[in-house]
Amino acid sequence: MAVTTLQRPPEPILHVDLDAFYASVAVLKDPSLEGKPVIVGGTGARGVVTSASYEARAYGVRSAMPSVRARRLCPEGIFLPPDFDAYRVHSHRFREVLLAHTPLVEPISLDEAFLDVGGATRLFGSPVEIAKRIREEVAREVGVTCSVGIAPTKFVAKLASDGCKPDGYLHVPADGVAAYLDPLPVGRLWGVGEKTAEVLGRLAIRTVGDLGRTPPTILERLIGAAAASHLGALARGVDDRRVEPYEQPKSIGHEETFDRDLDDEDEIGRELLALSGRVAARLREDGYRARTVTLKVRLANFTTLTRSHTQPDPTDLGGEIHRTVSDLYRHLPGERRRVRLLGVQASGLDSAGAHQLALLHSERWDDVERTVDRIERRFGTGAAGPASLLDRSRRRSVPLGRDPSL
Amino acid sequence: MKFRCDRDDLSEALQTVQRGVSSRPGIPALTGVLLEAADDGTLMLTTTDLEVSARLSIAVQVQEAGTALVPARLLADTVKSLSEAPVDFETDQSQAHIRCAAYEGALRLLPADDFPGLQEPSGTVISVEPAAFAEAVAQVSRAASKDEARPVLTGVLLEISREGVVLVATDSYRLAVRDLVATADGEAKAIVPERALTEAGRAAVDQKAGVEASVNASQIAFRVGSLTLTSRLIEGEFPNYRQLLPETVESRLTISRQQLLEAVRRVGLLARDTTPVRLEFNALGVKLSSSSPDLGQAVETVEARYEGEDLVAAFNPQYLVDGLTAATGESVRIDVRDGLKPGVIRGEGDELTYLVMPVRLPAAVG
Repeated sequence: MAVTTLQRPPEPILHVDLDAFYASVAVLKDPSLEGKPVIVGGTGARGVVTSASYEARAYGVRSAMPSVRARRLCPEGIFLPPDFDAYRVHSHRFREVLLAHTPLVEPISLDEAFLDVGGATRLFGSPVEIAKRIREEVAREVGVTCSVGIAPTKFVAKLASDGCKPDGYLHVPADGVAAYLDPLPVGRLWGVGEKTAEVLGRLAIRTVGDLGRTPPTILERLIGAAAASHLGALARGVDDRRVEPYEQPKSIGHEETFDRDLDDEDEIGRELLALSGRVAARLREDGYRARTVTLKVRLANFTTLTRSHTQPDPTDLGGEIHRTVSDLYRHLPGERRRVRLLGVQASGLDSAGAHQLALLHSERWDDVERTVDRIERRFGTGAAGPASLLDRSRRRSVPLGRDPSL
Repeated sequence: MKFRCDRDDLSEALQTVQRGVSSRPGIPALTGVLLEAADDGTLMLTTTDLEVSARLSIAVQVQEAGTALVPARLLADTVKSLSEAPVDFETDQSQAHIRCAAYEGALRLLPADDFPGLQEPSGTVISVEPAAFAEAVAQVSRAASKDEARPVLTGVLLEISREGVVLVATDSYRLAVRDLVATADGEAKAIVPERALTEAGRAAVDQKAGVEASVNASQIAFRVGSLTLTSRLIEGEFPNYRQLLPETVESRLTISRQQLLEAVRRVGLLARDTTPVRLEFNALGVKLSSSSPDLGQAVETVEARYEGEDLVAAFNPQYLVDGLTAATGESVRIDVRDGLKPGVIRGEGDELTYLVMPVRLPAAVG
């Protein structure tokens, strides 16, 4: 009989990342897109790529790139608007698969999570075996492939999953961390942006190995004490961040950049109502209420104004958030604004907990908005909402799909 | 002014006219009780805070008619503490002299001219049986709001018609509606401050003669025995409560009122704002439970008759206690729909309907 060891395995951390998530979901919805360069993102004049299939990446298309540029790089690309409802459904299934293996799941975004499987090995085998099981189950249950990094720490696990994309897994054993990190460019380290990479590059510190061999005193002079100690630790593979199974969000917000600058006050008011409604729906879905509401306005000349208001009673209602942001908007300096971007953010979040329902009208907006939530869950986003947004949603519902001219 | 009277009669009268009237009205004259002795042997006592006024007459031996404004609290406390003996009361220009047995005291008077003149409203007149009135007021007044931000809800709506009076109160979380048999010479609607109505109800408890009320557009006066309580009405539109009353019954629990009341009190000890009492309704009756992470948990099942689908609803235990206390009789009927719709509590009769909104429990994480 094999002796079961209750010791933690040396590499208990998994980083699981769905491959080209948004683009993959688009292919699931429309299988005829399989094998084609699919690009998901804002399709308007100012849109940005949020995800691209590996076929599109072959053309050099990357996320966060302006859609206009992506279109130049990949003229035969199929451009699609994001479909957050579908992502949420698939993300939920993804999380279910992960949680079936360990409760220690730390979601990073809809398509990415850290797991600590140190306590799951008796049930499911070694971390590598668990990674294989997860990959199979994710492919089956979610319909999207994923890549898994297995390592002693979060940061190495994340590097490993990035390094084996798409549809792969990479195990970095505890005694192999140094060898794995050594040749990687410093830019791969968490916290090293272009600027820091350039500073380090001047001293010919190009790889993680170079960084590890640089005396701390020199590093400190180059990039400051805090960054030096942080990077020095990472370069040695040290990362004592634990997998936090649940991280309470600090804020929930939505913003929208408009295809053309808005100057009509009524129209701006409607956009604020729509944004407020989306923020409130997210608050309710995630079970929070917010004390602070922040309005963000970017004008045509790129001046950005933000204003906040905090109230004693937290809210999760679009109507109340809208009243607050409208008030904040009215008190902005200047007039005849041309607005390029509007954002609404809720922060100071409290867990909603149990909530005494009310019989009477003003409190009943609560019920109205929750009813809208239920209708939308059943019939899709936009199935019900404020009447003043009717024209707007009709305008939006014009398919933003493939441009026949492409 | 000079009179002699029984200590108990005077003491009780002074207590009565002080209840229901604000003790800190802001104007010095309003801290006084106006005493008016008439040659026919009556002493009229009046207090007011301009919103609510109380006026009561008692029989005394008047030796000299007259009027005086005396600090109300001080006079009441003095008379209350006197020994069991006739009280002699006499005023001069500036003081009220009180003699009782070996006690002799003098209270400085307030300027009687500053005391506002009071008028009783004339309008629709209603008369009602005192015990029923007292019961009805006690049943609905708890449901009135204490939140001054919505003044209309701090009052009790009286819907007066020739068929009777409907009393309605809601703080928007629960709603109490009581039908009261009464005779009226017309129709009227009035939102009466809860404080004033409660005082009128309290005064009616031991009365034998009928309670009479007159109401016009801005005031209501209740005449209960020798007491007249006048109150300003609350302006505004009371919510349309009728649309809140469910028309059909889907699931009904019929249960011992006392058993359920005790169970709610016990289990409710472990309920907090965020963790109300859960009620699980099924064919065997109702299972109550509560739990607070830092306190503990409690469960109790009360057997009862339940017709309907199994369902769960959570409530603020205090609201349930108020409703079950307001209902009368051995058993109560509780109609429920689901965890998001109001529960309806009725006693053995149909005269009282008490709606209570549930507490929505947080959705399961997922």
